[in-house]
Order: sequence, then structure tokens, then C-alpha cells
Amino acid sequence: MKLRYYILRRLLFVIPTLVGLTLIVFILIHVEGTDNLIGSYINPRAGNIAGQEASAIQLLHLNEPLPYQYFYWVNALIHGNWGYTHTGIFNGPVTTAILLFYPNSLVLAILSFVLLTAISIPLGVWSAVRRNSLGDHLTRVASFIGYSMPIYWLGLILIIIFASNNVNPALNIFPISGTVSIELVSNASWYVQGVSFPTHLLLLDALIHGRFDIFENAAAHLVLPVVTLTYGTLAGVLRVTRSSMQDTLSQDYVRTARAKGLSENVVVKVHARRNALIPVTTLLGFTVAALLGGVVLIETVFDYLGIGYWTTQAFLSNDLGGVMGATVIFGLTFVFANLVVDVVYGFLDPRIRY
Amino acid sequence: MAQLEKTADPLLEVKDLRLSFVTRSGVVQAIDSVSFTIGQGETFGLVGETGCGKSQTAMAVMRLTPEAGIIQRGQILFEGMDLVEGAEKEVHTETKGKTVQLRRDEKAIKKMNNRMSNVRGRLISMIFQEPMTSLNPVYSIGFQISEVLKTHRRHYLLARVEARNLAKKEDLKSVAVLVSRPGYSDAQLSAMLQQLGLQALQDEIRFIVSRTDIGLTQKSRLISQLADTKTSPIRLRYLMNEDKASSSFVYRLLFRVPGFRSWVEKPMSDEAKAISLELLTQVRMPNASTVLNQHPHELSGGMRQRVMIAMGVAGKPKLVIADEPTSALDVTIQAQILQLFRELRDEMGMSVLFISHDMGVIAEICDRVGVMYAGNIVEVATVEELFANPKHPYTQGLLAAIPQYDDSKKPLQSIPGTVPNLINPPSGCRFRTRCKYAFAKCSETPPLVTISDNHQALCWLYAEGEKK
Amino acid sequence: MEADTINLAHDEAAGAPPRTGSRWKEWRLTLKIILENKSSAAGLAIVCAYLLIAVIDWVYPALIGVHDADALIPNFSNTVPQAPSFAHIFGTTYPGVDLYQAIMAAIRIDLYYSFQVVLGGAIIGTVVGVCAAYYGGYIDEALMRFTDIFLSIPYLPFAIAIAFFLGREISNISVALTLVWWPLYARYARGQTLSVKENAYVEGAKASGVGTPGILRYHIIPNVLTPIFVQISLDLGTVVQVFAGLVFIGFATGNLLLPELGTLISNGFGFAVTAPWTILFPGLAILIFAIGMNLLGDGLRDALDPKRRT
Repeated sequence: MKLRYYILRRLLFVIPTLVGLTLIVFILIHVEGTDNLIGSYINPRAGNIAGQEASAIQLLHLNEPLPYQYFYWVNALIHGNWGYTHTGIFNGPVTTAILLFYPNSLVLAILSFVLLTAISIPLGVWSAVRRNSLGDHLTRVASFIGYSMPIYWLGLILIIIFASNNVNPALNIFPISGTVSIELVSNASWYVQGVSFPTHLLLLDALIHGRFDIFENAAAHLVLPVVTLTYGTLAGVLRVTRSSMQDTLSQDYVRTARAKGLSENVVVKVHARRNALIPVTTLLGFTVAALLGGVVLIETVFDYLGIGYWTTQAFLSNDLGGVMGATVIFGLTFVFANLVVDVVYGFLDPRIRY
Repeated sequence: MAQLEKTADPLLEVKDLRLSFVTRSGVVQAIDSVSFTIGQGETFGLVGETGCGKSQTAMAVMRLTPEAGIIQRGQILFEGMDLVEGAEKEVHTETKGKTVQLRRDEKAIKKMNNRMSNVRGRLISMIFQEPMTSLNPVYSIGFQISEVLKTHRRHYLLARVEARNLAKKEDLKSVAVLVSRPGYSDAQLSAMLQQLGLQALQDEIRFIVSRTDIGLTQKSRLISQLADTKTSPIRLRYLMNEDKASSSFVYRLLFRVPGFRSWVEKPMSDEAKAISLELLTQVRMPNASTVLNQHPHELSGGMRQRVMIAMGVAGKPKLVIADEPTSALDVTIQAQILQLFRELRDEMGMSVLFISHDMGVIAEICDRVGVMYAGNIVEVATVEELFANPKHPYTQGLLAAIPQYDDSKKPLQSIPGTVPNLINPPSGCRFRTRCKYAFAKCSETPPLVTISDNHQALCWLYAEGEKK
Repeated sequence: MEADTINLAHDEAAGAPPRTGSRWKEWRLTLKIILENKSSAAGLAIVCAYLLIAVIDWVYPALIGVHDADALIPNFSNTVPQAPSFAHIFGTTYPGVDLYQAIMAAIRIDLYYSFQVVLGGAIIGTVVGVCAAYYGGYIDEALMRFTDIFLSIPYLPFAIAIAFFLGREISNISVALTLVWWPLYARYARGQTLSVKENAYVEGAKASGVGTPGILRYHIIPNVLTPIFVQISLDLGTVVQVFAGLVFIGFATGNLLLPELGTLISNGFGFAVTAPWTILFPGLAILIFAIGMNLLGDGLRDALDPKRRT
């Protein structure tokens, strides 16, 4: 079968996953009864609470049997009616909150993911090829510690080291909290209440508007969260890459490649590496889950205004709209990330396409 | 130990090879003092039970000995070049208290691998026993065969690319006319191509002519279409001056860009694919053009072994080592593969080192045979001589153990006992623990006795003055 | 070798009691292999030390100088964290709590809930996975789709959502984590069962008329449990981290005096820069346990690998 059929089939497979995802959130909501759900569809600042209540019941068809309710709830989600969130950092519609927080988290997660892939895979391959060398041992110890270290604790240690009122002013390089320095963006017309225009990605918008100072500042704010998140999730991938590569190097087809007279470089990079990456790709799917979990913890530690920080805030202020919205958006991100991983998998391994 | 036999001009000469494996339970003496020669165009067989060291001998020639193996001494001369020179530096043992540990010098091993890459595939190639696992599952068959061509036959590929560029439609038409004439000779074709300056296309034209699945008109059309694929002058200039170009800074930088190298080399890759197709047809692969783009998991064992053989002969090696190429296949496929092997060998004039545990297969294909037992070659002779007049008790046992169709009443023979533990091999003759003729002298290292011109045996029974 | 296994299978299939002697021998061999390797022996030592502390906390906390193992003892006259000194070897944390006592007491709580999560997850997961693989067909399909639904949300946000609906209490965190952890075990147990099911001795037992309970009891469960056990040991370190992490971001804000490592880090959060020890020591307690658990897990995996046992 061609790769495109495989991708098509994989795309179709997303549908039941999405049904499952929404179903489980729906069940969680209804374990508690519907009062909270109605509450999350009420905007207290708009007044006429009773009227809003009635329209929420009508919108979600809460008087009808549960299967209907599920259907209308999903329908509301699809039409962008996710209710309201009331937290210390944001009050308003859930969709607006997502628009506000999601880009920040996305930048954090994608940067970490790229960095973790770009470091762990070459390092794992190298470590397997130079097995039992000093470098290999150092890599393994470092990854072992990273694997065992609580990620938020590492963030806190970095905060202690880089805190601006520290005794050592040489280390005051990276800001330890927030997404950007407020005084810089206060006079930027394209930055309104935490949202930058037109792309909502602060780094990109700063470049579009030629504000390199803001770009630099926002990038500096990203350094510590990204480093923490990368180091915390890197170790698992590194370990699997190393053992998988080591396993592959002893396969018969690698021996065949050597027997063909290919140089060691080609043997390792063309014949062994691609095979070794197949199990690593599966793991990368799981790593995305760990990464998104890390986002929740890290954003809380660094006061970084993203989905994770919002989730925590919503949780602490008993805000159903926020928790529900965040869970769904985390689920969607994860499903999409796994889709990408599976496509890469199909590209790497021709056997899977059948 | 003396050389087993002098051939006029030996291609491969293995002298006193000794190889051990370091395992948890001790050092295994896998190969002890093995010597043999293979002449030009000769097919030499190695036969013996599993674990007697025949595969490891082949691996040692390719320098593909598994990690725990150490070549302790000896020489492997290929056209006078010693392949195992410096092997003792790469891996050696270190005794720590009771345990023996392996020390590998990874740098020296990398150097050896890179040095051997000029030998492997180009001068000596190897076909492995397990067709199911020996092909890389993630690459297409075409890619895996092309790789050999791109590594070892760049000049030939370039010549073809260039010739294709030079070829004119009218010239090719006249060639097509020539080959469609009944009774034309190969010499005529060569002369004509020589005149047109298109010698490099000769193989391809011959391949088209030899195809049986298409008619004459189709063949003529294919031949005239050879001029259709042209390479842009820029790419061609790069390909022709590749050495100069690849040393330039700009090119080295550009090669870092993913896909750039493969883009520049595309004409060569296409040419290599074309040759791969010719090779696949040559190994009688059904639906060769489909198989070219398939992956190993889509092929049967026999087809995979054909691919392995195509890969083995792609680099036009002087010696092909075939390590039990038919053991994993069905009997009918086995016969086909053996037949193919014989044809290819005669066509290309290569020497073959053929390894098998099957005496029948050996009899089919080999000129000369070495019988191996527990890391020793115990008997060497021409095939006819060995089967007619086996001397060593082990060889006699092996021959007696072949099931015979005609006298089915006779119970099957077998050699009592099993191959000895090679961590502590028996002193002297290693076969004496299972030999029914064993006598006192056998606990001393046996001499290599020359029975006749082309027959030697490693046994006390035939030594002067030792006869019972 | 193979013939041996088949004979053994028949013995047990015929209802012979499991040979306790040989099982004991197997355990001793495992222990020996673990102790032979320096790093896994160190892991075992660390884990044993933590378990010992937890047990002492439970039985007689005064032995390791802990006055109250169930609650932190605040000192409201001086809530600002004090640097390590002879009186407080790890210093104090907000609100005036002796950090040494706090950590020692916290180890018990963290270990208790983490074991609860991992064991609960492993039991649910193994039952689901073994059933799915053993019965196959529609049951397999249904159970695995059900499992996949649980795997469609990243575990930490999912655990937060579950805990939100369950209510903010520390025991609910462990319920939430169990609910997100079991699908991994289900997948793992299913894979293991499928490979065991193919083995000759299971076929042999079936052929000799052993019923489903017998096959599950004597052939499948024992062979699936070993790799699950290894997985548990590899997971424990991670679960302790995640559990403390959830408490850290505020699951137990209602109780500042709960001896729990995440609470301790969270209490010290505001003083991180001026009093780094309030963060450092509780975190190290988690880090060391996780390192010990991972070392032991790696060692166990190697020790239980049949290839290495011979």
C-alpha cells in the first residue's frame, strides 16, 4: 500500500479517538451532576443569571436523556461554545482563554520537543556506536539523573541559581518568571491584554513588527522553561535510542551492509540508524504526553502564562469551564501529535503500511 | 603448518589461521590452524557439522568476525595482500584473576572496517545463510543493490551516464537495425558501438536484446529510447569532476543540506537502478521491474536469496563467499539457486568459497573440498577424489551418513557422540574421542599426510610408520 | 531444555502443587544477580533504606527523631525558614517546621500513596490486559478500545481533571493517578500474554485438557507477572515524582501541615531564593528514591532476563 493510503487510514482512525476523548470528559462532568456544567456556561458579568441558565439548559438539552446531552455538548464544542472560565489570571469565554494561552504553551512544547529530539537521538546513536567509552558513560549517568529528577524541582533549582537578587550578579542572564517583560510590551499597539497580533505567537509577531528588543526578551523568558522541560523528558528517549541502536547494530542486515563494502559512516547512518529510530518513534508519542504533563508543572513554576498555568489556576479556583476546556485541548493536542508521530512511523517503516 | 596445496596462482590463501571466542565460560578455540588456498576461477567447498568453524572461517576472510572473536594468528592473503594484518591490535584478551576479558580498540576496528570497505563487495563478496534477516527491511530492493554499484562501480556508472548523453537517436536506430538482423554476432555489435563511442551502453543493449518477454519492435524502440534520458551539463560536469568538486568548500557545505547530494547524484542513482534491474533479471527474478521497488518483507525466501546473489555479484568481485546459501530454502528452490549459482560463476569467471553442511550440495557445485571438524580442516581433496576415496575417518562417517535412496534396507549411519567442547578440546587429534580407529598416537597433534597429488588428510592412520 | 519445560508444564497441569523449594531458589538467584552488579545493589540498598524509614515512621517514629509522623509541627513564633544548624540539621521551612523530621515523616506518606497507585494500576491493568489477550476477538477489541480512550489524554492533565471532579483531597490524587496509570499496564500485560499464549507448553496444557482457570493460574499469570513486576519497579520512581508534583501545584493546599514532599517544596516555594534548602532537601529525597528505584528496576530487568540467568 502507498504511504498516502496509510495516512488516510490513520486520519480516519482519529475520529473514534476523538469520540472517546470527548466521551470521557463528558462522563467526568456528569459524575457530579449538571449544576456545575450550567454554571460554567454562565457569564456573571452579563447579568440576567436566570435567563442565561435557561438558555444553557436549552443549548445543551439538559432535560433530555444523556446520549442526546452528549451529542449537543459536542455540538456546542464544535461551534466554539465552550462556556466561561473564572480564574485569577483570566475571566471570560474558554475559547478566548485558549486563544490567549495556547500559543505560549505551543511555543514552549514545540521548542522543547525539537530540542529533545535533536539532542537525544544523535547522542543516543553516538553513545551506542562508541559503547563503553568515557563519553558514553557520562551520557548515561546524565540521562539517568535526568530521568529520576522531578521536573518542577529542577525548575526551582534553576530559579534559585538564576534569581536576580542572587549573590552572584553574573548569573542574572535569564528572567525567571513570566512570558515577556511588561514594560517592553506596554507601548506596543499590537499587544493587547496578553495577546499579540496577528499570529498570537509573540516571537513571530515581534519579528513582524520589527521589535527585536521584545523578541529577545521573550526568547530569554523561554530559555529556563525550555531547558527544564527538555532535560526532564530527554533521558527516556536517549535511553531507548541507545539500546535500540545497539540492538540494530548486531542485526544481520548491518552485517550485510558491511559485507557490501559500505563505509562505517554509511553503515551506521543509513542502515542502522533508520531501523533503530522505529521504536524511538513510538516512544516519542508517549514522550509528548510526558511533555504536556511537564508543561503543566513547568508553567506553574515559572509563572509562564500558558495552558498549563491556566489549568492549575482553574483547578484551584474550582472552575469547571477552565478544567474541562483545558482537558479537551490537551487531549486534542496529544491526538494530533500522535497522528504526526504515526505518519513519521509509516514513513520510516515500510512494513507498517500494510 | 605447511600449505595444503599449491595452485598455480592462488587467489586466496589462508595460512595457519587461529581464531578464538571469549565467552563467560571460557575461551573457545573455534578455529585452529586452518590453511587452504583457492585458485583463480575455482570453487572450493568447506563442509562439516554445525559449529565446526566453517562460517567463522568465511567471516574471518571478510573481517566480519563477531564481537567476541579474536584472530590470534595466521595470514589471509588475497592476491598477496594480507587481510588480517594488525588484527591482534584490534581485539585482544586481558586476564583478570580467573576471568578472561576482551579488550577492543574501537579506533583500530573502525580503521580496519574502512580499509576493508575497498575489499568487501569489490574484490570479495559474501552471500549469507539467512535471506530473511540479511536484507534491510526499510529500504527497497533497488536501493540495496544500487548501493553496491554506487560504491564500487562509480566509473562504470559514469561511463554509462556519459555515453547516454552522447548517444544520438540515429546512431541507436542503426544499432537497433543491426541487432534485429538474424544471425548478427556479438563482435559486430561491439565493433559498431566502439565506432560510435558508445561501448558503455553495450551491457544494456545486450540485456534488451536478451529479453524474452518482448518482441523485436519493442526491443528496437527500447534501444532507440536509450538516448532519451539526458543529464543536464551542470550535473554531468560535477559528476565527471567529482573528486575535485567534493574537495571544494562550497560543495562540502551544500552536501550538508539534506537531499542535495541525492539530487546531484540522481543520474547515477537512476543508472544504478537500471543496472540493478539487469542484475535481477540475470538472477532469474520473476517480475524483476516490480521487485525493484518492493521491500524485503514482500518477497519470499528464495526471491530474497536471489536478491542477495544479485547484490553479491553486483560489484564484479573476484571471489564470492557463499555461506550455506541454500540451507534455509525449500528443496526445489535450492536446486534452482544452485543452478543459478553455477551459471553465474561460469559466466563471470569468479572464484567461489562455498560453505555447506550438505555433502550432496557440495558434490553438485565444488571443484575441491575441505572437510572441517572442530576448527580443523581434516581432509582436502578434489570432489571426485573425496567421494571416491575418503581417507579421514570423519569424512568416511559423513559420507556414510548421507541417506541413500537405493539401499533403503540399510539402517542410516551416524557418527557416535557430538562435537567436543572447544573450551577444552581433546589433545592431539580432535576427532579421536569419536573415532573408531583411534589409537595411542592420536593424542599427539596429527600430521598432514599427502595421500596423492590432490588429496591430503590430517590423520595418524596414514603417517609413515604409524600404521597399525 | 525444551523437553524439560514441557514436562514441568504437565506436572503443574496435573495439579501438582507449585514447588516452593525451586521458587525460593529462583528468588535467591535473582537476588544474587542483583547483588553482583554494583549499581543495582546500590539501588536495592537505597530502596531498602526508604522502606525502613517508612516502617519506622509507622511503628516507632521517635527512633529516627520524628515526633509526629502524621502531621508537621509548626512553630508560629518563627515561621521564616532557618538555615541548617545543629538543632535543625536540614534547617527549617515555612511555617517553622524542622525539615529533617518533615522529610522523614513525608517518606512514609509518599511511599504509601505511590505504592497504592502502582499496585492498583498494575492489578486493574493486568486483569484487563490478560483477559483481552486470552479471550481475544470482540472482547479484546472492546477492552483495548476502552483502554485507548484513557490513553488519548496526557496523563497529568487527565489526572488533574479526574481529581477535580473527585474533590481536592490527597487520597483522591492516588485514585486519579491509578485511573490514568492502569492503561499502560493493560497494554503491557496484553503484549506479554499474547507472547506467552503462543508458547508450546500452553498448547500442551490445553491439549491435555486443562481448563481456562488452570491455564491462567499456572501458566499465564506467573509468566506475565514477572515482567509486570519489573515494570512496577521501573514506574515507582516516576510515580513518586508525579504524585509529589500534583501536591506541589496545589492539590493539598487545604493542609499545609501534611507531611508530604510536594507540600514541603510548595511551602518553601516562596522562600526559594532566600532559603534554597527548603527546596533542595525535599527534592533530593525524591531524586534519591527515584534513582534507587530505577537502578533496582534496571537490575531486576537484567536479572529476570532468561538470557542472563544461565
